[in-house]
Amino acid sequence: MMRAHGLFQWLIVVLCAASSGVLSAQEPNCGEIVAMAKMARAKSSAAVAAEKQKAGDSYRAQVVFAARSFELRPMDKSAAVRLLNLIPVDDAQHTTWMTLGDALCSPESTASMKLLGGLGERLPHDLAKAVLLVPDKLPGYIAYAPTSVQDPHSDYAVQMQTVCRSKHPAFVKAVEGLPADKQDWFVKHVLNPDGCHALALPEAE
Amino acid sequence: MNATTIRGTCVYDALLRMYHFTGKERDTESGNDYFSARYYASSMGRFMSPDPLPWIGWQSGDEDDQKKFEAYIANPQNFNMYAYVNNNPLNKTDPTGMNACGTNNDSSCKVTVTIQDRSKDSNGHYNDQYTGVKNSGNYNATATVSVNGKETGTFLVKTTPSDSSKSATIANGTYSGTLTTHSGDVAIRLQPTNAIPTIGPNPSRQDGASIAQGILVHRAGRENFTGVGRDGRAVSEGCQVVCTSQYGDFKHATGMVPSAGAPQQHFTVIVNTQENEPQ
Repeated sequence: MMRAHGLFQWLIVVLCAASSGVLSAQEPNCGEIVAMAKMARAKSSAAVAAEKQKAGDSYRAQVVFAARSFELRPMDKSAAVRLLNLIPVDDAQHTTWMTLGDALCSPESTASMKLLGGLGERLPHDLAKAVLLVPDKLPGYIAYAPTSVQDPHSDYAVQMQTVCRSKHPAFVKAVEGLPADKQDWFVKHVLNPDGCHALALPEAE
Repeated sequence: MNATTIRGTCVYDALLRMYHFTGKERDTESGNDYFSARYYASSMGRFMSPDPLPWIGWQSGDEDDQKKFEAYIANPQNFNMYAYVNNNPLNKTDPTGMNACGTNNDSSCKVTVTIQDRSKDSNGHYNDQYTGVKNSGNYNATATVSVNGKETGTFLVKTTPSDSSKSATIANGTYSGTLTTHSGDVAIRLQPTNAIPTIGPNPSRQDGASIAQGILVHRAGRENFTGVGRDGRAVSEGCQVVCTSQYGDFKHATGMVPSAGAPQQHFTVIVNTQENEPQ
């Protein structure tokens, strides 16, 4: 009986060790996360590019690279296009945008998380500036809005007001290009193009 | 000049109180540091009374209690009930005098935030110890934080959105939580990130699905405000908001803000209130 109990405990230990191995294999590489945080605080495009080598080529790393590159060169159309091309097109990518400031590896410093979280919070602002440079990307930019504002902390619609005012005809045309049901939802719940008035507001701070 | 002659006794007391060991107030008469549950004698490096946890009672409790009891007695340091953080002050803190958990994202550390209804009198008025907290009436629940079964603090929480016509109320349940950042501060993200069940259809979703996303446990607004501001922005769109004036202590109680090392990153958040009960 005792022996059977011991074997059972041993089996539990082995199973736990195996499952933790599976979990750790799914976790992001901490070295890559550290490099992403360094990208987020880089002061030059060269520094961003250097850290990009260490950050890997994941979607998350690409977003951090594109966003920080554009922030450092806000008049660079190619940087704007790179960022706009990364607008989420599925739930997984949307989750990545929402969770830029989450703890992704252990141990990760709060400072790193805040750097990446700050970048994540600036993304709607960065996207608005980018699409002003490249208005051809308005359809994709507008199509993501209803998804983005489902995150209570997203100020996507508020940032979109600037785009609406600055590129009003193109903006209205892009909204009219949405499927009828989505267009109706957009003007009633996200942003009213007539007055460029945001309807989906983020939580207050 | 005696401070009492200037502004009265309260100011006099405040001036004499000094903050010492880990930021706790020092009792001017005894020289001891006050923790929520007991005094710490800085001169002796230990508490003046035993840990008040009812650990002996766990032995005869239910299955969970017995597990807590076994875990507790497995650590010999717990038998020194006058020790501070199991005599490991470099890696651990004890904000309330009842927390002996590591704060370096200790994987063995189980941090649980249990959100439940506040107690009310027969007239439906809150009658707990928080009634003196500014704007405490805005909060329908309390969050009790426990670390490895030991309570480290209880805090006021609002579990429903500021404007229920625009945002959904999340449903009671047990959620995993991940450390995240929110407006330059730390917070807890409820998982799954994209599909927290809600009570009824979520009005912020075009598809009307009964799920919410991006739900956090974070601090409330200025002066403990929880409603909709003049700019139309709500303090909560379904997030679990902790009383602002208590949020600093909440962060310490959960290990989100450690005194040393990395913060705790993983949590269990249990929501169990009448307001969050599915109809």
